Amino acid sequence: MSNLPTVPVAPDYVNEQLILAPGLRSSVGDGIAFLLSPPAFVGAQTNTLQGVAPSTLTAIQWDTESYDNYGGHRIATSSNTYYGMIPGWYLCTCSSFINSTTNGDASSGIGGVQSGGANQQYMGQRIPMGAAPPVPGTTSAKLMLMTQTGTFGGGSNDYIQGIAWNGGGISQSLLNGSNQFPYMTATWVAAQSGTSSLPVPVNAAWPVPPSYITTSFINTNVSNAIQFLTYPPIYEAFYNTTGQRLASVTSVPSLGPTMLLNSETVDNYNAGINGSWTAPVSGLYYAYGQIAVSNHATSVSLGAGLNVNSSNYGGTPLTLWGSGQQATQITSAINCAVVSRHLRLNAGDTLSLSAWQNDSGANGVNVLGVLTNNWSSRLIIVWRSA
Amino acid sequence: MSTPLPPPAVPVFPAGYAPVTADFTNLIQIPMQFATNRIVFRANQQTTQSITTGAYRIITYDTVLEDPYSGWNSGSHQWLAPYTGLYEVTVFCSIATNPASLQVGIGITGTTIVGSQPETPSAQLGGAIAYGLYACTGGQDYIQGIAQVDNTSSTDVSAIGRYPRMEIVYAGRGN
Repeated sequence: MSNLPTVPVAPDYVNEQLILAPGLRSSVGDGIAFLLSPPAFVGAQTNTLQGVAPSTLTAIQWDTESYDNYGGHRIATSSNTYYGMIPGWYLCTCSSFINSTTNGDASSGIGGVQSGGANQQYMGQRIPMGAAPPVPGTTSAKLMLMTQTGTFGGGSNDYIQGIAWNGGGISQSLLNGSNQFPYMTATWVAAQSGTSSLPVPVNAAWPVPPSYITTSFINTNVSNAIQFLTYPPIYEAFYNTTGQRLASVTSVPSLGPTMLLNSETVDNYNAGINGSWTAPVSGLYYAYGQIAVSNHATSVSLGAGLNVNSSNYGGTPLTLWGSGQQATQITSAINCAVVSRHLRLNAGDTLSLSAWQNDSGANGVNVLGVLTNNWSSRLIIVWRSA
Repeated sequence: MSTPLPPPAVPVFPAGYAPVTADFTNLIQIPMQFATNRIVFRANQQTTQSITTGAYRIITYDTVLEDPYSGWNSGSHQWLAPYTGLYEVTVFCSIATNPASLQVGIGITGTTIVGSQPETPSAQLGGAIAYGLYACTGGQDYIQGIAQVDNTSSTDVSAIGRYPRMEIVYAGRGN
């Protein structure tokens, strides 16, 4: 994979600079090549029927590669792992299905090693599971930073895994059906670092003689454009303490409460405060949120949503709801609901995580987020297009 | 961007060549425009749909919010990928009545891939989501939102926040 382009480095042009073809090839040519085909992985498990031990966070084996342009995965070796070949932030998702024969709960998540740190698992949707069909299918998303990259299988190379959870008390298999099967994606979305607070490129028309190319023009329409596309707004915040409660509400509101997310994984445009995020530039954004709670025996339902204030969505604050699921009716059982979508936002529009839960005894629940708990509440936002 | 652009070829800058404006347009402006303004599609459903029990059903989006590449077919409720590439898809569907199970997935040229399946969705907010990254052949592969229930139900369009919807954005060349 040594001939594949790497993260482009945009030059700063100066007055009277001689611009040579090799420079344009490396900045623009290779930059376009990388940006239009960034590292990505799409894997599935379609025939392994992997067993998952009870109450064990299990890395899913990917026996089918749908896409892997930078060669970070091999079916024959380390099939449960996608190694980072290019440094940067990766948007990762995982869905899984437990072929359940017992009551309990099921979940999926993303795990791995970031920047040479410890192997950690960040779990997502967690729902009740029954002994009879239908099987539970869960989904999750996480931004992962890989900085130690380029050596497949290397002991110090960062990697990403999809994780399954079987809370059914006995070992059970993952479902490998025609339509329901474990599935994972990892997509490079931003460089490890860069120049933030740049505008969305306008890609202006090039001057026609007798007009000439100025330093300002070429820096705006080449250098800054590459820098923005290489390092667009990305954001991930999570709840990292205790004490936040989610009250019981009978009817799902049109505007749910804003959840506090007091820690940030990344916020390269400084757009968020405690989980309330303001779009720094206009564009189409991918947004994912999850709310993790600790239940009661009287818990009934749980849902996750995105609070948005945008003229593109009615002009007044409202909640765009996601998954709505029944609750596991066991004291201290963990449930996690999720929401994801692509949103067309204007600069200045706001987003935050919201949630709803209903309890037959009108009990509030504790919102989970202590970092040592694999299930925590978080919000992810990634700029994807102008 | 006034005219939707096809995915550009990787620009090649020959040495010993004196570029004119058109060269900068073709080699820099147009590729950068495509990298900035990706192929996108967004639609939602504002009129409730009956989802019959049993098979995977196509979600009939009736309101197209964004379709600059004119890929949407309102008769078959499918979006045809205009160019070959990797497409990032999100789908959401909420059910107003209360089925015992709900599957939400993404259909790629007739094959459904389920994203999530809450075994028993909430009676008050019965929704599920799906996300996927799919390599599609331009002019051939199409994308649909899919739902399946185990007893006939209706989609929930009672509020903007509950509209079933689908969003698609070009994520790369896919090769």
